[in-house]
Amino acid sequence: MAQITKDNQGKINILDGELLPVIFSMQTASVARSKMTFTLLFMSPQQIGVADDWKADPSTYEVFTDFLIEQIRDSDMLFLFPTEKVAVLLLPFSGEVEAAFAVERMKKNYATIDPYRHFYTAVVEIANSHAQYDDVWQNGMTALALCHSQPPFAIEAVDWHKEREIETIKVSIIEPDETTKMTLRILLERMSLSRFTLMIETYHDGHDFLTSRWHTSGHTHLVMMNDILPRQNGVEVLNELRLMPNSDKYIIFMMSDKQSESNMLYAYEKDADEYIVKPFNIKLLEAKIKRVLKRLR
Amino acid sequence: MRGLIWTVAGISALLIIVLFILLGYLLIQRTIESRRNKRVKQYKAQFVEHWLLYLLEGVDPPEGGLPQKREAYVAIDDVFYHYCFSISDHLPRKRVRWFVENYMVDFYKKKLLSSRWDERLNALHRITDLQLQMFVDDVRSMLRREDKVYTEAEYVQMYVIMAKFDVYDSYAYLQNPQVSLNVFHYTTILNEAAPRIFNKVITHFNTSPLQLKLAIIDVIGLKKQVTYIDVLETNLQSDDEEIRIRSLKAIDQIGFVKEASIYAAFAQSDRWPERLMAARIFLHIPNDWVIDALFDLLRDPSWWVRKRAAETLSQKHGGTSLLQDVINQDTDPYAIDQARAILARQVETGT
Repeated sequence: MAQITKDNQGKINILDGELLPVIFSMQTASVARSKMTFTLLFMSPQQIGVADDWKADPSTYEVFTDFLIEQIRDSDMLFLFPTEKVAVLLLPFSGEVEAAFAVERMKKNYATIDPYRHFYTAVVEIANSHAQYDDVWQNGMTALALCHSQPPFAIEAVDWHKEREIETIKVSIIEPDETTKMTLRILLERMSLSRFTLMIETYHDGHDFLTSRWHTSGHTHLVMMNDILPRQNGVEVLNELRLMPNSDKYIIFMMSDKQSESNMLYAYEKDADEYIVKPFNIKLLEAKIKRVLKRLR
Repeated sequence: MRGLIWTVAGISALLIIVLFILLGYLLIQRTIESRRNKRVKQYKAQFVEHWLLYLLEGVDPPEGGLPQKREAYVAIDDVFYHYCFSISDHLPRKRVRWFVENYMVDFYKKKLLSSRWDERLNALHRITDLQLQMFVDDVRSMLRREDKVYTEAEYVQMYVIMAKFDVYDSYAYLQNPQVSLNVFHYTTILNEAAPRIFNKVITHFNTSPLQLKLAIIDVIGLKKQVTYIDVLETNLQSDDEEIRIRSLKAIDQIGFVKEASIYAAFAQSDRWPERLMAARIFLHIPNDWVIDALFDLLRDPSWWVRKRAAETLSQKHGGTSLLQDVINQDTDPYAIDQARAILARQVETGT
């Protein structure tokens, strides 16, 4: 029976190893939605000068896990595997780099407890929702085994699950002028993006867009629209999108030939992400789009 | 009696025939126009992407896409115009000018010489929008023609072109225009004017006609040209109320004052627009006396002045507590109302 343990500080993030597959599948599911990576640290305690027979000292594992309990943050989760003498630390919002810093900090602190003790670490960053628990476990344990041929406190990184998924972004260009519409389309089609594919649709006015159902899916959605549009204008579309329950998925670029401060302020107050004054520099626009997409990661 | 009936019948028949001829003529014209538009649309559908790639990346347009017929010229002109309206990049605009210079000079010259004023005016606007400096001599020739009178809009657009491309005699046209120009006309011209021309106009500010003076002040404000703040502050001593008010407005648009003390008097002015502008400008003055002046303006007889004074107070450091003090301590019910309204709006908008 899997257990959730409270330590003496009341932390409840020390878990039985049997729970790891369940938590792992929840984490991988949220990677797809939140685009946040998480990292597993496979850690095994060692004793200097007791080459490979550290199992002889029964206190080594307990000392190590007590140390880890002291070290972990409230958002981390520690899974204990006493049979394998391994502890797996799940850092839910961290990538490999942050994890390496955490290990570095623990190294310094652990060395002060007992100069004859150390630990090995395998760092497995999970950046896509397709990672399978068995593969991750296998790769983590293999990397941990590789540490044994290395000096104390060695770290091995597993790169196999770091590849991010290609995300599909919907793009809507709402612009009555055909030339501008096509120019924007060409710009977006030719933009080189390594982690995204763009699905582009163009609309003549706000009403066409809002009645299209194109905007109702869960995709991140870049909307580039003119403020003046036939039928429903840009501000109306902006208001409607921002009233939707999942309005954060919309990245809204309002384009206008009006460059007065009041117009810009109004658009930003209504939650436009960017206000682009026409005529605009196309390279600058491209840079702005790329910056916004980069921040999605 | 019978003769009269025949005469009326004859005239009626003649009128009907004339009407039918006119109707026929209009129908033919309409058909020709709609066929032309259709051909322009077809050309655009076929080649617009090529032209956009030419502008964006310099990709050569296809052989069949080079203009030979009128519809091709019209379509390309339209694509260039709309492109330049939305996109400001330097290189594509250079490509537009290169292409016009090599393929479309006759097309625009023909338009400039057209007997239809709308054709000429459109061509003049294109020269401005697409920055086609190669037509400056043609425009100058048009201005020098004594046998031809153009519309007011054409003259304004021709002056715009002269000022924009920094033509040496453009200032003379502004001082002595061939048609009477109002403030809006002058503003349109000065908005586009090259810096040298604008400087020259400012140098001759005092000898300029009133309409031009007002336009100069407006354009300084619109373009937020802080280098001309002295011109504006000097104008605050003018006897002309309109010049003073516009100068105050321009200073507020720029958002910078050089000599803070000269604005105190405007808070005491007999004219409410001057008090209103003072209430706006006090936002840009960090001195303590401004707060007391704003408290006074909050009790002004004009609702506009009170409203602006309350807005300015709210935007000052510690503005919310200043307005709260008015609500708690002031005896003027209008001032209290205004302070309450601004604070309520702050709560409503979450600012």
